[in-house]
Amino acid sequence: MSHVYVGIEDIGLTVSQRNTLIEAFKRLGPASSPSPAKLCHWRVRLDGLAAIFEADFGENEVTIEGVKGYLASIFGIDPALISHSVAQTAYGPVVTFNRAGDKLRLVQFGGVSPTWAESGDACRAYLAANAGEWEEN
Amino acid sequence: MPRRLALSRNLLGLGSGAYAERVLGMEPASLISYLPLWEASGAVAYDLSGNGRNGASVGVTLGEPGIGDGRTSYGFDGANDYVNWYSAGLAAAFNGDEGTLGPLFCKVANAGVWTDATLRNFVRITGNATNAIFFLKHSTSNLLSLRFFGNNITRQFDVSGISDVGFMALAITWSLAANEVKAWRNGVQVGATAAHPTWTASGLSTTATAIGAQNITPTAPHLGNIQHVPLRNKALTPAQIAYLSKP
Repeated sequence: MSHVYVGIEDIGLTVSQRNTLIEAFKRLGPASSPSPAKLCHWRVRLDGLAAIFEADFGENEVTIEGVKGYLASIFGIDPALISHSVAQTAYGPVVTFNRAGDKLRLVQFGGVSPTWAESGDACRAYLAANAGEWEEN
Repeated sequence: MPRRLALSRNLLGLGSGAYAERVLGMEPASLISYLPLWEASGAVAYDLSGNGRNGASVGVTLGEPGIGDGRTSYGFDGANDYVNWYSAGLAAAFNGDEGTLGPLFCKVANAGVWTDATLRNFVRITGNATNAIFFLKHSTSNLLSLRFFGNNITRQFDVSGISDVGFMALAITWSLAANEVKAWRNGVQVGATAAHPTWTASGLSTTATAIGAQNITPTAPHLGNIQHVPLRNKALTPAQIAYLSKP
C-alpha cells in the first residue's frame, strides 16, 4: 500500500459501527507531512453510507487483514470470524466483508498495486460513473 | 505599510516585481483576504493581505507549475481536494454590497475536463442557500459559468465553447451603489452588466466557502490548478481588472 485512493461502503453496519470505522480510517496515513496530498483526507457520499479516503497509507494499514481487525474490534469478536470475498471491477478489486451477513465493501481504486495517478484516475472514473450518488444537483 | 502585512510578505519571500506585488498594490485597503496558493509545504494557505484570514489546504498537491510569475500553484485532484477559506474573520469582513472576487487564475488538468460531464467549482463564496458567488466548469461540455446569486436571484455569466488548457484569469465585481454585477475572463467582460440583486445573507457558510470545490464535503471538486485568489470589499474598475488579469 502507498499513496492511493480507497473506498468503503456500509452494507450492513449500524450507524455507530459505521461512524467508528470511518473515524478509524480518518486516522490512517502519516501523522504529519509537508504535503497535504499525503495526509489522510476523504469525501463522504451524499447518503453518508460510503466514503473515499486518500493518503500515503502505511504498509499494513488498508489490507484485508487490517480491515478485518478494525471490524473485529468494532464487533468485539475474533478477526478470524470475519470472512471475505474478492471481486474484480473496472475500478479495482472490491472486497466484501461478511460476519452474519455482508457488512462492508472495500475498494482499492486502480488495482492491487496502482500508482497514485492510476488510483486517482480510477477513483475519478468511479465518481463520474456514479455522480448521482456523490454530487448535488 | 501595516506591520502585519510587512511581516507576511517577508515570511513568504515576496520579491519586488512579483505578480503578487501588483495585487497588493492595487487598492490595498480593499483586500479582505488574498491567498496566493504558492506554499511549498504545509496545510495552511496563507493570506497575504496581512489580515490573517488563511485557508486550510486539504489534499492539494503543492508546488505545481504556476502562471509564470516564478511561483507555484495548487493542484486539485478532482476527487477530494479543496481549500477551506472560511474563517470567522473572513465572514465578518465579507461585503455582499461591494466587492471583487479575483482575478484568480485557474486551469483544467487537460482538455478532456471540459467534456467530462462533471460540475467542477473553481471557487465558491457562500452566504446561505440564496446567496453565493461562484465560478464553475459546467457539466455541459465546454461551458464556463461565473455567477452572482443574491437574494435568490441569479446573475449568470457564461462562456460557451471553451477548451482552454492554460491559466485563465476570472473575476466578478459587484457594487450595490452602482447597481451592477460584472464578470470577467482574461480581462474582458463576459456578457452584459447585470443589476445587483442585493445580498441578503449575514456572514458566510462555514462549510461552503471554498476554493477548488463547492463545499468541504467536497462536492463538485476542481480538476486542475489554481493560483492567486484575492477577495476585496470594493468593485475594481475594468482597467484594474485588465491590469491584474495579466500574469
